[in-house]
This record gives sequence, structure tokens and C-alpha cells, in this order.
Amino acid sequence: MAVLTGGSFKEISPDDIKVRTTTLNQLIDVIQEDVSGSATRKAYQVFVTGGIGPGVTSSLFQTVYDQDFTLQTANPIFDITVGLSETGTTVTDCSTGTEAASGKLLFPSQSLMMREKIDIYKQFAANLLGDSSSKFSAPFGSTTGTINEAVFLSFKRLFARDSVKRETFALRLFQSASDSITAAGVDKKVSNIDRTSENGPGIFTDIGAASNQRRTFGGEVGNIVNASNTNNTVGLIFYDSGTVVLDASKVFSGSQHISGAISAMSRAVTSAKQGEYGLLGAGVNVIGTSLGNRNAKLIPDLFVSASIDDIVDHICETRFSSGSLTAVTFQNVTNINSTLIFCRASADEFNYSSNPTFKDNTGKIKVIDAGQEETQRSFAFPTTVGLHDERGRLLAVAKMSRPIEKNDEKDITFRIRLDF
Amino acid sequence: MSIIPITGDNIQIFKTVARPKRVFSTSSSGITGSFRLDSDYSKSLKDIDLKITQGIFNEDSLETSRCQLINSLAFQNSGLLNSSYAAAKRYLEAVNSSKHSIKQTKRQEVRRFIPGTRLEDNFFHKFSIKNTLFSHYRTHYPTAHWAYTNYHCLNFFSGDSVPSDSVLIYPAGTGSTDFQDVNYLAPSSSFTFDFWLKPKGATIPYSPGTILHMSSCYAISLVSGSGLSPDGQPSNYRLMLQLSSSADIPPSDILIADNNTVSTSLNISTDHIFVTPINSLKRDWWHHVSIRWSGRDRLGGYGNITIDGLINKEFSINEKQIMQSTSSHPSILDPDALFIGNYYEGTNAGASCIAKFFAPDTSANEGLLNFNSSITNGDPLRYSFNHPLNAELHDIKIYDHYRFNEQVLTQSATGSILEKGLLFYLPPFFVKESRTRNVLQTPFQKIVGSTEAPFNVPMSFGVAGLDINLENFTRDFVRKEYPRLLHLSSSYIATQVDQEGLTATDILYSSGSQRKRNLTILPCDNGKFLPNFELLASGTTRLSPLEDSPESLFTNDLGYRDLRLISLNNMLRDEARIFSLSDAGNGTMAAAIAASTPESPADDSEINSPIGYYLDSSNILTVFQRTGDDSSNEVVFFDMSNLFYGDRIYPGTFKITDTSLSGSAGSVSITLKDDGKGNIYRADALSKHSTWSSVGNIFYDDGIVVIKSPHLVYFGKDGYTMEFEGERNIHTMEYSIPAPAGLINSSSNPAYRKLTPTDFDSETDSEFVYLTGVQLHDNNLNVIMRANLAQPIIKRDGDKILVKIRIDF
Repeated sequence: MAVLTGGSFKEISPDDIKVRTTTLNQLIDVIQEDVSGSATRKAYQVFVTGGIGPGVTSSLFQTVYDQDFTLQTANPIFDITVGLSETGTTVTDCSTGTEAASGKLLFPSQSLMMREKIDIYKQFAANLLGDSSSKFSAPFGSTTGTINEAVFLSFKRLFARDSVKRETFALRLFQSASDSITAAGVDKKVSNIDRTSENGPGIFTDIGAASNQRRTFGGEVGNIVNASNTNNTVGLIFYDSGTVVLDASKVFSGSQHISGAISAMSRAVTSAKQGEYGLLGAGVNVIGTSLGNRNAKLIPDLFVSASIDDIVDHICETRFSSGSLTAVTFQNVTNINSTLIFCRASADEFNYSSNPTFKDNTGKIKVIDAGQEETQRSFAFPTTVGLHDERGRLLAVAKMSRPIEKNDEKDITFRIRLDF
Repeated sequence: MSIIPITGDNIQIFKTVARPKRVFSTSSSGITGSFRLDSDYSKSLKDIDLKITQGIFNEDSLETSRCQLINSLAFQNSGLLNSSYAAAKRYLEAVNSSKHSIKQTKRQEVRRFIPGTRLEDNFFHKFSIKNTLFSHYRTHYPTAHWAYTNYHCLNFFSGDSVPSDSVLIYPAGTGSTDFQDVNYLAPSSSFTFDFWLKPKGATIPYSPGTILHMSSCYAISLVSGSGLSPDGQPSNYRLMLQLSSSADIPPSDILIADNNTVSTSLNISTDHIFVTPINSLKRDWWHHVSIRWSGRDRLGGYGNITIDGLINKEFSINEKQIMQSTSSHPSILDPDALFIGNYYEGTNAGASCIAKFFAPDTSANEGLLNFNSSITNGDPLRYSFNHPLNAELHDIKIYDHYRFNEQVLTQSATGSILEKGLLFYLPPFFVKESRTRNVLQTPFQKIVGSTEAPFNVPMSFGVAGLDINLENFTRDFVRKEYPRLLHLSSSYIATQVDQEGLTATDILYSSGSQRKRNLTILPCDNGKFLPNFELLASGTTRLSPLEDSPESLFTNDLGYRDLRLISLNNMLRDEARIFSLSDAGNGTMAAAIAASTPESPADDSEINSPIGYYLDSSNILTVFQRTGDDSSNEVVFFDMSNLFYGDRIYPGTFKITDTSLSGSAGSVSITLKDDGKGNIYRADALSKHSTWSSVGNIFYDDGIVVIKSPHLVYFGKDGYTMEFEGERNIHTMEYSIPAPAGLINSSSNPAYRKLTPTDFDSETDSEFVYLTGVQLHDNNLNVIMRANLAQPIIKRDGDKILVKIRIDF
């Protein structure tokens, strides 16, 4: 041991060191209008097509904020995007083959961002399942419940913290889009892509996850079930990464008719095909009407033909409603790791000081009453505890809020807490 | 690793000044501009309701509803329940109704406070600001005295909750029925009326408001023009002068055509009515008005109305006498009074005569001139005032001769002296003298006495009530007469008020007359005029006036004579103090002797044992007995955290507005600004402001604003908007670290290999290093700072690279 100077030293035994972890929970309450509002949902125009028309720009994901995202005080809550399984029928039915040289999948021009949707699915699979070619399935580990059309919600660190607490997650959305058929008609002219729906309310929650704890590459995972029928598992929640994977074909009515204008690689329509859309400009297509793909469905048609922005816009704008009710909730967990060090000063210890003022000119310890040097007992006021390593190097210092008297009639234990 | 010495040439120190603009507003609809103190606040982040873990069961709590949701799964699995949807819905509702914690929602706001009546925080804040900040900054800020400038204007306004028939009535008694003599305020053979006027907004339809009126002699009224402001109120005005019998036509009965011709449906001549062109006066602008007539025998009866030095209206009157200063009618009495701020309508005969405004009982109660002892007690039987003025006025003068242009110009810029021919002069100045009259001590107690301060001292230091001594501001300096303040006087309450929790001011302000009284004098913001404060010189002039001197309140904090100031120190005489003990508790000897408190004042309905100038101080001055501080408490403070402004509030940028001063029912808006030298002045006018006139002070480095004028003590009470620019100095030290050519071309990293920087054929160097960071050492080569580059930089042997490191403090 190195020579220690400038104080009194006592070795801390392992019994005097305790390491403990405590947890702190916060409640997350994401309200509907934050998800549905355009001012609180930020898109990133990072994808641009070439080809016919002016081209389509789109995000690869969008971010939901807790207030207008242009404000400095806005906090991002979660990112939302969609992905497609490479082996799912939505992809395989659409694909026109594989490019021989690169091996990349080919798709017709009526589809949009198919390879990006597949890549996103693979990225989530790589991060959460450990293999980009793995498939998400609900219930977790099931061989039959493969999620081919996935909606991903990735909660930000500020909200998810160290993990999501089990059996606290709930998500409310409307499974059916609004009605797209006019009272008169067979032409299905009314758009429901951007019309808020209140049809088919559903609440999806992770109840039961505490009794069925599973762990995978991405950490702890639980099943998300439909509260109306808990046997119906509709997705997964990865607690440690704060990511939710929803099976779009289960949380939404996938076969429902969808109609409306979407971005597309198209020229302007010069013939007067009138609908509620009027004349179509370049870069816009309409699905689900007599203008094109009259019987379009959410899955596969919208997931194939629409850009990620259009799909996410549809989900956020129409399926979460636009009120002030709770859309998504969970409780987060913050782990506080603490090291408690008990520094014990017995009755005969630490009653002296090396401070020069502790002694008078003759080297005697100063006493309160002059002439009582022989009878009055020494006492000290510890102000600081220094923690040294085995070589005597100072590692940490603990300052007391006020000096504490120590004399030979007291034993004092200083409890030092280090939080990490 | 290479080490290069850094000299002073490599170091540059500079300062960047950030000047953020701040706006803070508070009103009944909430607060904007405050700072959230929790940096991680999000409305989506809430605290957990832990009631269930605290042993208190609540079926609506979050944790209970979550447990019920989890339990519902078991019931569903066992077939007892078809769906957990209802439980999930309740859980979401519980989440939605969960509240944020106080810690998360804590915000930093601007604090408005008044000293209060107890020895508590607010009082000590006042104590420390007054005694420490004022004395510290006095050498820098000329107005940093516990005093405010004696520059005021008369504020006439109307509103739903204040009387519209209030008026200032100055005695102009001729003796009426007893004998006929001269009417001093009716210059019949030539005249000049001179005043400063600032028209204010008023509701539509606009009714003419009368500035000056003497029955059958003259009436000067403010009439709306043609323009409207964005708020729907008139933006332009004109003046109307009525003389002789034409002055007996109520202004609202006069129709003014587009070509300025006038007519009336009444059977009275309109020959002597003169109107300035439309839009000759602007709203919220100070205008100097001079109305002159030379008389028949001089300049041929020429007269004019001059506004801001320009003749707006000319007229000619070929008569020797233009005013009926004494009545010639057998049944109509003399016009015995000058009315300011409204138009008198009445018969002026018998029991309704004007002289009865100064009846013996009224004169005794209100300290007025009783010029006719034969008049019986009581107010006139029938009269009305239906033309309330909506304007601010000051420096009102009446001359008995025609003032020439040079004289008009001079008197428009500076205050008058008491020269020959000046019949009436109302600056208005605060003067220490006032007549003996009934003076309220509390809302329920009165004594006969006089007042010597800007506000009612016993009311303030006794029960913390505000009662402006309007009498001390409205003296006519020529004849030293005081007006009858009709519907502008304090009301004595003889009955019991059975409502707990009311303050003295609450009780006082239940009277519209009292509210209007307190708002009739406001700080003047006319920057085109400088008063003649020498008029206030009185008695023996001393450098430090004595306590009994008429000039004793015209002093600064050091006790030196300054006629511009009204001191707010030493509002009480020393004998008023009975204890140096403070806040005597129940059961103490001090409490027994002090007898009463602001919350429980003495219950005598009338006390007749005055000490000093007021009542027995042990019964009345209870706030003073508690605090021992006899400096004015009729002040208001605004305290800003430096979170709002940084290092200091940038001088010259502070502005605060109260759009509806308490008691004015939205009719009085006050804006205050700072002059860049620590002074707060009123700045409502759209014309030049009197930046030298002080109503308060601002201490830029400390974020403290003090409004000292007692006329503005309720400023911001119901809401205000404050804006200013902060100033934040960001000190930066910039190190320029050179990596010269030929140096720093090798690495001591064991993994270092000599490689070419690129694979290009054009590459000439065979080796290079990556610069990844810079360390700054002290003389002993200890590392004291370290900067990492965002990405490594390639440095070839011949490259000269300069790395700049900036450190902000």
C-alpha cells in the first residue's frame, strides 16, 4: 500500500460495500392529436424516385413529437414506419423477378419503395432478432403467425429510458378506415385515405407478458394482444429497445377497400376523368376508384402502391383519431445503480486531525479551556471522506453538508452513495 | 505527439453579446412568456400514481385500473369474461386523466408584489431595495430617490362603473344675490384660454366632452372628427368654442355640418359658436390649445383658436362684452363657478342656483370657499352633467387679455409664472397645503383635518387603503382656491359592512366616485412641455427644508430641496411612532397598547383626539406601528429572474403596459418605459414623452422595477404585458494552433505505418499523419484542455494547417 498522508485512513472491507439497483417509473401518455397532426409529425424527404413524372419524394420513417416540432422545446416521442417481409405474399405476388447481376428484387412501376420497405423490415429484424432474414411472428416464436406487413414504432430514449415496463403498454387505434363508398355509388369516389376514422375501435395491449417472459437478441420481448380477444396476438413489443412491431394485417382490416390520391410515378392525366379529385397532375395517382385499381385494399394494394409517407400518413391521420384521448401509453423503467459504501468510525478512530491548527505552537493539541490539556479529550469535526484505491490514489470525495463532531464517545457510520 | 509552444499571438479573446427579446404577459386568461424549469418536460411524460402502493385503495387510480386489466386476462382465459376491452379502456382513461407533477410543471414567472402590511417577505424586499439598491445606484441613476416627479395631468374618463357626472367646480362667486361685482374667471372684454390637451379613445356614438364651462360665459368642448381607429373609437377630434348665451346650448344639441356651420334645435342663438376644422386634434397626442380674443377695441374684435402654434380657426366678434359674467336676468343668478371636465345643465335660479355647490355645509365638509353666506345648506335642487370629457389636461390657464403668438409659443413650452392678467392657473401641481375638511381615516372613520401628502396617510399606514388626496393636486395657483370635487370625493361609510375578507381598498373601491377620484390625477407624459417648478417655492428657502416647511416634501433622499420631486420618505412625524416593537403578537403588552390592527381597526366611528396632523396614532397607524417604516407603501415592484435577461436588462428597451388599470373598467391604459438611465416614465402619448419625469425606477443588473407613483400602485394588478431585451455576454477565447509544414509529420502511435495519403496517381507524398485532436498543456506539460476533431484530418509533410479552438465562458 502506498503511503497515505494528510488524513486518517481505514480500509473498507467488501462487507462495507453494497451494490444495489433501484428503478424509477414514469408514465407515458401519447395523445391522439399528436400522432394525427401534421404539425407534430415530422417527415424527412430523403427518398426520391426517378422515372416517369416529376418523381416521388418520401421519408423512410416519420417522427411523432409532443408539440409542434418546429419549436425548440418539442421532444420526439417515437418514430413510425412500415416494412414488408421479403417472403410475404405482398412482396412475392408483386415482384416481377430478380436482377441477375445484383440479385435485387424487381417490381412494376405501379409499386413504390418496395425494396425500401423490405430493407426496413430487414433492419428491424437484424437489430431485434439478430438476423436480417428472420421474420417477426406473433405470438413470438410462432411458426404460423409471421408478420409480413409490419408497422414499427420505435420509442425515443427520453420516453423509453432503460426499458418499457411489462404489462403497461396499451395502444388504441381504429381498425377500419372510414367508409369510402358514396350513398349513390358504385364508383367509390370518396377518398378514405385521409379521412379520420372512428370505425372498429381496438385496444392492443401486452397483458399476459409478465407470465410469458421471453428474451431474444433485441432483449426482452412480449406479445401484444387484442383486448377484445386476448387469444388474438397482433404484434410484439421489445421492452429493452422500446420498439413495437404490429402486424398490419391484424391490427387493421386489411381487406377493406381503400381509395384516394397517392404519390406515384405518373404523368398528368389530360382526359377529364372527373371525380372528387378533378384533373390529376403529374406525380399523383388515384387508387380505389374508376380512375385506377378500382378494388384496391389496404393490404396489399396501399402497402404496395403507396410511398412510406403515404402509408404512414394514412395510418397516423386516420387510424388514431384526432382527439385528446390517449393513443399510446406505457410506463418506462429507469435503472438507478447505486454503490453504498459504509465508512465506519469506531469510538477511538478519527478523533484527531492533521490540520496544523489542531495543535498550538508547542505541539500540544488545543483544548477549549486553557490549562485543561491533560484532562480534556480530543475531538474532531470530519468534513470530508476521501475514497482511495489500494495504491492510495484518491478516487472520490464525499463532502458533508456540515461538519459532524466525532469524539471517543461516538461511533459514526458515514454512508456514501454513488448513483450511476 | 508534437508539442508546439502557444504564445499570446495565438490567443484571441473576444466577447459576443446576445440580446434576446423577452415578452411576459399575465391576464385573466393566463400567463405567457414564463420559463419552464424542468428541462425534460413533455406533456406526454407523467408521474406514476402510487396511491395503491401507499395503502390507499382508489378504484379510479392508474395502478388499480392496470391491475384490473391484467386480472381480466385470467377471467377471459377461464371463460368468465369475453373481452378485456372495457378494462383496457378504463386503463387508458386513467392514463389520460393522470396529472403532471408539480415539479414538472414548475415555471419561473415575473413576480409582482406590494410591500404588504406585515413584516413578511414582501416588506423586507421593499426594505432592502429601498435602502440598498437605491443608495447604491443613486450615483448612476439621477432619479434613484424614494420620490417621484411632481408632473401630473388631470385624467377625465368615462366608463361603466364610474360616475359620468363628475366634475371639478372652482368657485367664481360674485356674491350673487347679495351684490354684483366682478366675476374673476369670466374675462368678458378679451381673453385667452390656454391648455394642453390629449384626447383619448371613447365609445361610439361619441358624445362631446366639455373641457371648460362657465354658464352663459363660455364653454370649450371636445368634439369627434371623422376618423376611426382600428379599435372602432374616434381617432380625430375638433374643438368647439361657445361664448355668451350660445354657451347655454348643451354641446350635444349643436349640429356641426361638414362645412363647419353649426345649428341647434333650441331657441338660442348660435352666433357665438366657433368650431375648428375637422380632424384638427389627434387621439393620444398632446396638443397645445390657445383660444384668444382681442376684444372689440383692439385688433378689431379678432380672435382665433390656435392648436400647436398654428391658427386653426379665426373669428371676429364686434361686441364690447362677450360674457355675461354677472347676470342681467332678474330670475337667473350669476355664473358663480367654473366647471372643468363636464358641462353644467341647470336653471341657476332659486334653490337650483350654482352657488349652492358651495353651500355652507358643503364648504365646511370639503374645505371650500363659502362666498355667499346667504345660501342655504344642501346641493342645488336640480342640475345635471351629461358631457363628461374623455381626455387628459394640464397647464390650464385663463388670461384676461389676448396673448400674442410669441407668448403662446413660450407658454406652450414652459410653465407660467403668476404674471399680471393671469386669472386662473391649474398646473396641476401637488402642494402640501390643503384646506381643513372631513378626512377619512378608515372607510368608516373620519376627522376634521387637512392633508399634506399625495395620498391619505392614515388610510395607507392604518388599514393599507389607497385614497389619493385629490385636493392637494387641484389648487388654482392664482387665487389659491380649491375646487368642489363633485362625485370625486371619498365616501364615509356609516353602516356596517358584513362581508369578511374585504380589504380597506376593496371597500373604498366599491364606490365609483372613489375609483374615479384615485384615477383623476395621473403622471403626465407630455414631453413637449416643462413645468415651472419654481411656483412651488414657498416659505423660507433652505437647502434642506425643515419638517414643518411647506417645501418639506420637495426633497430628495438626501434631504436636499428639489422642487421637481415629491418625497415618499418621512410620511409621518416621529411622534406617530409609539413602539419600535414590530408585529406585536396577541397578548403582548405592545398589542394591548397598540389596540388595533389593519385587520381589526379601532371601532370608534369618529375619533376626536388627533395627534400630529391626524388621529391618535395608536388607534390608526397600525401598519406603521408594525413595520416601523414611514416611507410610502403605495408602491409596486416587479421582480424578474435573470433567467429572463441574462447579465442585465438592456437599458432603454423596457416597456410595460397595463391596458386596464384597476378601477377604470378598461378606460385607462398605462404604458411605462425606461429612459436607459434607470428611470421609468409614462409613455402613453403618441407624441414626445417626458422621459425626465419619474414614476419609478429600474435596476437593470438586478431585474427589479419599482413603480413609486401612488397613482399607479394598482398598475399590473389585473394583468400586464412586459417586454424588454436582455443582455448576455458570451466570452470566448480562441486558440489558433498551427501545424506548420515540415512539423507534425509522424506519430508515436505504435500502430503507425507509413502509407500514402491516397491511391491517386497524382499523389506525391509517400506518408502522412491523421490529426485527431489537440491537447493544451500548461508550463509543466499537464494537460489542461483537450479538443477532439469531428473527423481525422490528413496532414501531409508540406501541409500547413491551423486548428482553431474556441472556448466559451
